[in-house]
Amino acid sequence: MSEQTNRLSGGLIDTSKSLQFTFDGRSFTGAQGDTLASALLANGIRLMGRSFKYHRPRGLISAGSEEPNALMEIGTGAYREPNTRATVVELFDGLTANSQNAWPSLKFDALGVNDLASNFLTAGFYYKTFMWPRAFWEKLYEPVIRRSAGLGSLSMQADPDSYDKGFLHCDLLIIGAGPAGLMAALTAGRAGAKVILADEDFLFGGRLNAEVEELDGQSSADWAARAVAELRSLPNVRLMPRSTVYGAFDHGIFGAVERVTDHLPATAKAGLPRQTLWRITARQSLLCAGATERMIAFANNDRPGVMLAGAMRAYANRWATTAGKRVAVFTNNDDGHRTARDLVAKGVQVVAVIDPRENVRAIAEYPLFKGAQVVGAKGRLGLKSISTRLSDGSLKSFECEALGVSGGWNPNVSLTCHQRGRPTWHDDIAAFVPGGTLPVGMSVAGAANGDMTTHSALQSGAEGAVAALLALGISATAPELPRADDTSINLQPFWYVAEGKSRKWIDFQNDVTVKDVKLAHQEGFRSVEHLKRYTTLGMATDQGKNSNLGGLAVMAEMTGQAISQTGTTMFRPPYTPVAMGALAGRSVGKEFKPTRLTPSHHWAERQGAVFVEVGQWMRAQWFPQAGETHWRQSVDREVLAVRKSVGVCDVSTLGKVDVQGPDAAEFLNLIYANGFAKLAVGKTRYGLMLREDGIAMDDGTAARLAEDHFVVTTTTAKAGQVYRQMEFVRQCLRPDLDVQLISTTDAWAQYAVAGPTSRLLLQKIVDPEFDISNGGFPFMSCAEITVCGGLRARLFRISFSGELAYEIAVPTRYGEAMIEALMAAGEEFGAVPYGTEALSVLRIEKGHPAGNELNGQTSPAMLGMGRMVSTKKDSIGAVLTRREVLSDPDGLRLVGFEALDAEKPLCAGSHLFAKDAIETAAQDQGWLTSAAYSPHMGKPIALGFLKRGDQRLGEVIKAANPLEGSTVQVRVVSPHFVDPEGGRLRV
Amino acid sequence: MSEIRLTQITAFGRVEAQTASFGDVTLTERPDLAIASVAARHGQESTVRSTLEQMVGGALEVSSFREGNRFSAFWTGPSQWFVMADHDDYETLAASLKETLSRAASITEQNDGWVGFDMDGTDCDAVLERLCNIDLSGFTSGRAQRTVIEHVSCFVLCRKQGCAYRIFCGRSYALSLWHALATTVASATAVAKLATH
Repeated sequence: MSEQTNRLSGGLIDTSKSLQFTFDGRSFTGAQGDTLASALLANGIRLMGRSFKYHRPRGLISAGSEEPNALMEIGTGAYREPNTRATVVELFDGLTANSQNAWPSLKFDALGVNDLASNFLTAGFYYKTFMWPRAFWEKLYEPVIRRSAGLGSLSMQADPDSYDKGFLHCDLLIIGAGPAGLMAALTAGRAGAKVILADEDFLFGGRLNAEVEELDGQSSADWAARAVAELRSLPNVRLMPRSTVYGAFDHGIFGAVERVTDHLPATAKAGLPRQTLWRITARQSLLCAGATERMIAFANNDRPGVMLAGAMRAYANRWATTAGKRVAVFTNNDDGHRTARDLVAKGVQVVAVIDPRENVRAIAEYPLFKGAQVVGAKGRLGLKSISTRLSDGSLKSFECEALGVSGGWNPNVSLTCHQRGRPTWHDDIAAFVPGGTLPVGMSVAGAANGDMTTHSALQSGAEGAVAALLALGISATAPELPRADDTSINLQPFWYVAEGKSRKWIDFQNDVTVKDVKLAHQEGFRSVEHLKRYTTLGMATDQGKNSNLGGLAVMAEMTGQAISQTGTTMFRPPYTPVAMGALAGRSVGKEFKPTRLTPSHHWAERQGAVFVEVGQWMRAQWFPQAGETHWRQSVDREVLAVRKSVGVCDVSTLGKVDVQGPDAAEFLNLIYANGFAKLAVGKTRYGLMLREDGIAMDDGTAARLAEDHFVVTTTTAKAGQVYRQMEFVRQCLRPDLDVQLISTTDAWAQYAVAGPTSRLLLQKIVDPEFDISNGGFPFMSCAEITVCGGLRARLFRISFSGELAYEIAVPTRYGEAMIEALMAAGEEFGAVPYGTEALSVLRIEKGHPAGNELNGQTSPAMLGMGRMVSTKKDSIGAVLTRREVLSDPDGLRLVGFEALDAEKPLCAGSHLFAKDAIETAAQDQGWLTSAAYSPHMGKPIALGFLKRGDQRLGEVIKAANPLEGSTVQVRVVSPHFVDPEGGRLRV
Repeated sequence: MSEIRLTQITAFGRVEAQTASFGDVTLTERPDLAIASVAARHGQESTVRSTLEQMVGGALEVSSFREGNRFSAFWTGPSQWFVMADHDDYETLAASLKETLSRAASITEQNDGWVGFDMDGTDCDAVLERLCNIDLSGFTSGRAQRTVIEHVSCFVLCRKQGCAYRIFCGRSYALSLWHALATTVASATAVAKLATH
C-alpha cells in the first residue's frame, strides 16, 4: 500500500476517515472528501491515462467535470463504467478504478508506437490514408483504427443498476452553487420563492472551497457552508448536490442527473437507484455555472504533471494535496500567481513562476520570471523539468514535478447555447460570454456571465435572482453582500508558445495540436464547424471545455480574423456525459413498455395458453392440449372446432368507443365511409373508416344501442389512433355536433362465441327473457341483455370467422367468471377456447381484411370495398378515394391465393409475378399480405394484393420469396374460401 | 335458465384488493368503486354540474375533486366528470345517473374501465414526483389531474396534499402500473432513508 506522499495539511477533507481504493490493481488510501483524482495525486500518482489517438501518457489537468485526460473505468464486472472522469468521482471505501486505452499497462502501452507514427496520423489522416483498396476500409482499416483509438470498453453485460426518473417544478432553478449561485439562492430563498439549487459537485461552494480569500472576514469555504446551512433550513429551497444540469430544453425544461449512490460502497446501495434523471420545469432559471480555466499550448505541454493552475490551487486548498514537491507556474494573468502563493503557504517549493507579461510582480516568496515563456517539458511518464525562454533570450531549465498553467478563464456558456444562443466575445476577459437568444426564462450570473471576481459574482447572483423573481411578480431584495475580493486578474491573451518543434497540445482528449489546426486551415477547413469535424477538436466526453477556444485562437490567427469573427461551434446537450440507463429510467427489459392484460388472462394462464404480444396487450395465441407437440396441431384443432361446433375467443382488446348524443348518428356518418344515419336501433353495421387522403385507416363495427347511443369497435392495433381521430373530428372539425365520446375498451370483457352451436351454448347463458333465436335476434343484431341471472351484458351477432357467431360482453370484473361459464356451458358441444392464431386463420379463410391489409397504403377499391364509399353523403376521405391512383380499375385488388402444391407453405410478404415472368421489380404485380395453412381447405392459402386481381380468378401465378430463396405457384381465387354466400352467418 | 352465477375478481385476478407497504407509504387497490363518466350535452353544462355538485356537496370546477358522503366526483375534461360510489351499493351507478340526468348528459359505465389505487403516507410527494409531471406544490387537496405514469394514461386525485392520493389507470394496465407504483415507492422510501443517514 502506498503512502500519501503528496498530502498537505488542511483542506476540506477528513483525514481521520481513511478510505481504501485500488487503481490498476494497486491499493491506496485516501480521505473522506477526496475525489479519486485528489486521492491519486496525494498518493503521488501523476500518470492516469493514455490519450485517444497517440496513446500519449497523460495525467489530470483539471479538478472538475471538464477533465479530458484522467478517464477511468470505475467498478467491476457488469457495474463497470468507462470514461469516468476521476476528477468527479467521489472517493469511497472499496472503490475500484482502472486506467483505460492502455495495454498491457499504463506505463508501458504497446500502442504507444502510434506516437512514433504521428506524422502519418495528423488531422484527417483517415480521410486520406485508407482510401485504397476500397474494400479494405470496412474489413480491415476501420476495425484496426477503432481498436487502437478508443476510450474505455463496455462490460458487454446488461446494466445491473436501476435508475429513477422524475419531474420537479420551481420558480427559479439556479444552476451552480458557487458564490453567484449561493447568493442567488439566499436572495430567492429568503423571498419565499420555490428554488432549486443544483450543482454537479458533492460540496456546494464552487471556487469558494478552493480559495483562501476571505468573505466577511471568514474563510470563503466557511461562508459557503453557512449559506448552505441557511438554505437547508428554508422549506421552499431544494438543494441538489451531485446533480448535473445537462441540458436546457424547450419551454424552460431542464434535464438534470442526480448521482444518488455513485459515491457509496456497493454494500450501501441495496434497493437504491444509482441515479435519478430529473426533468425540471423552471419558470425562471439563473445559470451560475462558473468558468473553466484554459491551457496555454507549448511543446509537450501534455506531460503528466502539467495541469491548470486553478486546479493545482484547488487540489492544495480544498483537497490538501499537490502533484509534486517542486512545482512551477506558467501564467498570463494574476490568478496564476495566487496558485504560487497558496502552494508556498502550504510548504510546497515553487521553483518558478513564468509570466509572459512584463508589468507584473510577485505576491509571495517565489522566483518570478517576467516576459518569459515555457518552451518545453521533459518526462514522458511524469514531468521532470521544464525549459523556459527568459526575457533576455536565454534558456533556463527548472526541475519540477508539476506545472500549473493559466491561460485565462472561459465562462461556461454551454447551457445558454442549447436553444441556439450564440455567445459574444468580450475583449476584457478574452473570452466568450453568453449572448444571443438564451433558453426561455434564463439569465446568467457570476463567472458564467463574465463577472470574474468573487465580489462581482456575489453581486450578479443576488441581482440576477431579484430580476428573475421580478419577472414572476415575486418581490425580493438583494441581501447585503459579504465583503469579498474584487481584483481583476489583468489577463494578457496568450494562446500558444511559438517556439519549439515538438507538438503543442490544444485538445488533450482528441490529441489535436496547434499544427493540426494549422493543417486544417491549410487544407481549407476554416469554418469552425469544419475545423471541428476535420480535426475532432472539441469532441468526446469533455466537448472541448478546455480546448475550443485555443483552437479558435489558432484558426483566427491563421485567417487573420478576430476570434469573435471566427465564432464558436454549437454547444448541445448533454453538458457532461449521461448514462444511457439514466435516460431509460425504469423503462427497461420487460418494463420497456406497459403490458395490458385481457380479462381472461389469468384463466388462460391456467389453461397453459401460449401468449403473444399484440402491441401492449398479451393475448392467448393458442391453447396447447396434451399430446400436441407443434403449434399447428393446436391451431388446426381450434380452427376445425369452430367450423364444426363452437369456440370461444377473448376479443376484449378490440377498441370500444362509446358514442352518445343527439348527433351521434350524424357524427358516425362523417367518420365512416359507408352510411350510418339510418342504422336501426338494435342493429350493428360493418364500417370502413378512411384517412383524409382516402386511404383505409381502420375497420370495425358500430352497434346502435339507442337512438342516441352507439358502441364503435376498432381493431386492437388502431384503437388509440381511431379514438384520437374521433376526438379530433368532435373537437376541431365538427364542434357543432352534440356528441360525446369515451373509451370503454377496458370496461367490458368481450368474447367471440363462434361456430354452428354457438347459439345453443349462449342460450344456456343468456337469461331466458331474451330471445336470441335466428328470428328474434338475426344476423347483425345487438342488444343490452342480462346473463346468468341478471348480470348486465351486451350481445352482438357479428362474425369474424364466417360462422354463426356472437360477441358477448360483461363488465370486466366478471370476465373470468364469464369465460369459465361459457366453457362449462359449452362442454356438451365440445367448445374450445381459441387464440389469436386460430382467429387469424379463420378470418383469412373468410377473406376479412385485418392489419396486414389495412397497412396505411391501401384504398377501399384495393380492398374490394370501393362501392362501400357512399357518394350520397360527405365522409372523411371519400373525395380523395376517387383519385385516379386509388381508383384505377387496373390497380391492385385484394384476392385469395391457394398453393398448387399443398406441401409448400405460402409466406406473407412474398411478391407476385406472372407465371413465366422474371422476378424483378419491374415485373412485380403485387404481394401476399396474410398467409396460413387452412385446415378447412387442407392446403396453404393466402390473401394478397394483385394487379387486376379481381379479373384474374383462376390464373396460376407465382409467389416469390427471394429472401428465403423460394418460389411457389399459386392459383388466384376469391378471397372468400369459406361460405362465400354468407349462408352460415345467417342460420 | 342458467344456474351459473358469475363472481367478480380484481384486476389482479384476485378476490381481495391488492395492498403493499414500503416504509410508511401504503398502496391499496380500490376495486370497491363504481364509476360512471358523465359528459354534459350541448347547453347542459351548468345543469349537469350543479346536479353533480349537489351529489358530492362541493364545487366541481376545472381540475376539482370532491368527496361527499356517498358520492365523489372529479373533473376529467371540459364538461366531463367521473362520478364514484361504493360498488356494492351502486353497481348500476351509470344507470341511476342516466335516470337522474336524463338527456342532459351522456353517461357511460366505467366501473371496470378504470382501476383505482390509494397511496397514503407522510411523504407521498417524493413518490409522485418520480412518477408524473405534476407541480405538486400547487396540487392541493381536492385537485385532480390527468397525467402519464410510465407510459400509462392516469388520473391523479389529491385527497390530502402530500399524504393521500388516488391514482386511476385503465384496468388492463393494472399490473404494469402497480409495478411502477410499488417500485417507485420502494425506491423513494430508500432514498429518503439515505438522506436522513
